[in-house]
Amino acid sequence: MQPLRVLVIDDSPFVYKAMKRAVEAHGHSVIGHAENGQMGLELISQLKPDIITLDVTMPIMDGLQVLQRLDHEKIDKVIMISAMGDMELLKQAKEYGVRFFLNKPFQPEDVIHAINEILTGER
Amino acid sequence: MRDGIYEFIEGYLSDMFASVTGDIFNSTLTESAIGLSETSDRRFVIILGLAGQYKGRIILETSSNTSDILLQRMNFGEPVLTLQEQNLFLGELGNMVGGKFITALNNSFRGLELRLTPPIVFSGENLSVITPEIESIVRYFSTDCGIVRIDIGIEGVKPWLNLENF
Repeated sequence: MQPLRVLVIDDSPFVYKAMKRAVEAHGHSVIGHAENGQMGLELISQLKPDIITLDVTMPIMDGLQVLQRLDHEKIDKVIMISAMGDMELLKQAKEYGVRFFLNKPFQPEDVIHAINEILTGER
Repeated sequence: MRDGIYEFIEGYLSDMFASVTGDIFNSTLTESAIGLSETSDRRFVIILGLAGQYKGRIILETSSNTSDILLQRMNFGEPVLTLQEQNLFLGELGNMVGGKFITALNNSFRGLELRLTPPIVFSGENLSVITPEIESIVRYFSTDCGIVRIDIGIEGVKPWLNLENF
């Protein structure tokens, strides 16, 4: 598998570090970190990542607002991440076209599983 | 499903906190009859507000020593040195504990639509956090990092509240 370029959009330094460790242990790289959705949109446009991990609750612009501004091709690359995993939130994310959702705290193998699923399920 | 929210919280609290401590800190957990030491010179307190069909708050409290160990585990073995970073990490810990909690409540009690407010983290000596007019469920949990106090209060939620027709 080709090494993938991952963008982390999350205001938590803990999640950023956990994500970086998880993806780098499997030969991929984190190419950027945005602490809010607005910065995330700018980095998506600049860096053109292969995978985007997107937190739901963030300052300035939250994850669902980011999804509103992304086309389907980019939403296919999104792994949504949240400390909350209630049905309503999952439903909203699914309505935007998100296929993968991770609950915090997550394990490294959960991240890699989601990345592999995105790759094998590419449209 | 339990009969009411109060009973649900009482029954679920230990499992909820155990799943977070197990995932992040690789630590087992037991409920403790021993509280935080009265002589602890400094405490860290994380407060998350609850909004939605009910209003309330979740308070997590640890000693400074326990907090240092928790933070180092969260930071993959490296100490978290600056106060700003400590607050960010503890805030995230609060988010994860609170997130598990309200997810379980929302999924078990249709229509609650509980949401968390952003966490507030503060530290100081001889702290005492109280919320008048809210009945709290307070538990102390012993982890191999130290003791953590959890205090959950939801306005109007009492042991005798019947939510069968909620």
